[in-house]
Amino acid sequence: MTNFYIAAAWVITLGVVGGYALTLVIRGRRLSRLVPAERRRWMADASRDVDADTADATTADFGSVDNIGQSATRSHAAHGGAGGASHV
Amino acid sequence: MTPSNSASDTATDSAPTGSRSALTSTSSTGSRALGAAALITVALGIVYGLIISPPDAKLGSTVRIIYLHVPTVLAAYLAFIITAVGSAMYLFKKTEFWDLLASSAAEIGVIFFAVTIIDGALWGKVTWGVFWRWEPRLTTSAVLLLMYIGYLAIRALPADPHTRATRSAIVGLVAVVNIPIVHKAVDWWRGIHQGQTVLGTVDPNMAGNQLFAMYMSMLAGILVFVWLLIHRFRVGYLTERTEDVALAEAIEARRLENVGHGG
Amino acid sequence: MIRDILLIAGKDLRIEGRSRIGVAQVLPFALLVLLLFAFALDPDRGVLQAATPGLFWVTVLFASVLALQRNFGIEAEDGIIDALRLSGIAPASIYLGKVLALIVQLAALELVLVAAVAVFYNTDFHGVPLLVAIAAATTVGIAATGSIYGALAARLRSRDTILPLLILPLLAPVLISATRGSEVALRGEAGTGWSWAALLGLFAGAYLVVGAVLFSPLLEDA
Repeated sequence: MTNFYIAAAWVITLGVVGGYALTLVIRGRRLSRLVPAERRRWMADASRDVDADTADATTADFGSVDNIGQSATRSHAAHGGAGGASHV
Repeated sequence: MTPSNSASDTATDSAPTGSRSALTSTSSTGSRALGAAALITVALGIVYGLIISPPDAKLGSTVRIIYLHVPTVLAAYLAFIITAVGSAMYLFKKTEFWDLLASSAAEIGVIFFAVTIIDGALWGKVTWGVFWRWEPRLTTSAVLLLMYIGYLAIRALPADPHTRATRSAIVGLVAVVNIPIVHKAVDWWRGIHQGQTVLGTVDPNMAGNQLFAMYMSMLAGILVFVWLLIHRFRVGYLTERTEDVALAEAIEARRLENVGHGG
Repeated sequence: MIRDILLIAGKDLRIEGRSRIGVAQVLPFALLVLLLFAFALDPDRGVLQAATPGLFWVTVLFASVLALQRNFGIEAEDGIIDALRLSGIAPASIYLGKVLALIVQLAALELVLVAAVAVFYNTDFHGVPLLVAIAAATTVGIAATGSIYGALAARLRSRDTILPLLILPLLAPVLISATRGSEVALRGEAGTGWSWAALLGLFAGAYLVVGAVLFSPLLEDA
């Protein structure tokens, strides 16, 4: 019985973490198709360090003027639907 | 920085799925190397933890559950520290990066914590004959898990990104302050009733293959955690971008509609 | 700043004084919970007496959640939070004012519940100074955390379900400490009980600081 519980612990741990990793990969692939490659900054310059790459890519992105405009309008659209969009 | 440039970059990578699918995924050269390293350490962890390492002198073969328990709880705490740092930094900098970092880490932390508790309960079933005893570490983990499920619940509520990020950051900071207090309260409470427990502590006398199995599984836990964090971050980032795209399309459609009416 | 705090607290207490939701609904609910515990745990077998401190504090927690929803719900509905933002009062003062108003309401609730416990659960009170210290620290702790999450949840459509989910795990160490401390006090051995009171005080102090700092982004952006 001891071995059963040990096996269960390993199967559950590896299964849950592995399953989660798999869903992340699948979600990532599905979403990647919807977003143009130039907005996926980790694709753009693969020679750079991964963390630094995502870090300044997104910081710069969020700080850019057009993006601020987009996130501001998004709040309207999220609540008001088409009415919010016409407001723009 | 151009699409063609990135395509040629990824084409040189030896991604098993081919360069075309590599173009539409959240992986990069760095994350692929990290993922390979994580898989190797996990494989070594399995081989050493389940086969090569001998049963523990005191714990017997249940030590093999400890090889899972320690790395998962380590990764979970690492995750919640990152959530706290990300939350604080978001309130200072108000950038999407810190918000995505905090929320990605919280989600992974909840998963690792849930697994930690399940492993702890299975360990308890073998050692004590019952799944649950109010063992200090298990109790603390349960409370913290519920606290961070609350964080994810707040995070899941629809709102514009800035509002949602601020809300989550507040919850992330409020929650992390509680961690040492929960620890202290539970330790005092359960410490009165029972002596020190071995669950979640590394035996200082551990040696040889046992010690190697422990270190290998801890390394595997950290590498897997970092890999998950990078990919969860990118998925979150892409989710935001698709919302941008969907919104832009909606606006465009509406504009065309108005033009149509005008004409 | 102290004038602002008193102003906010006075406003909240006046609202409560006029609406009397706390007296008419929260308090009867708390008494009802105490009765339900007696039905669930047979009073003749001594379980009720042994569990009195825990039941008392659980009742206080549940009643606090209701009081919080009440206190912050009306604000959100009437757009008072926006008005407060525009009033020019520092967010930290608004926060501390709200905490103060909650402390007053919770203290009144606890006094009534203590009387109810003494009557229904037949409790003998020992170690009163320690009990008072524990009750004071617990009340401040609940009010300090409750005001943060109450304000955060107030404007959400799902606030009735999200607030308990957020606040009850946060208050878990408070429940543990208040219950153990009260048990020790009721047994008449004050010594170790003071460390529980100290932990409760630490919790309350930490969250007063956290709340005062976080209330500014909370009011502005959340």
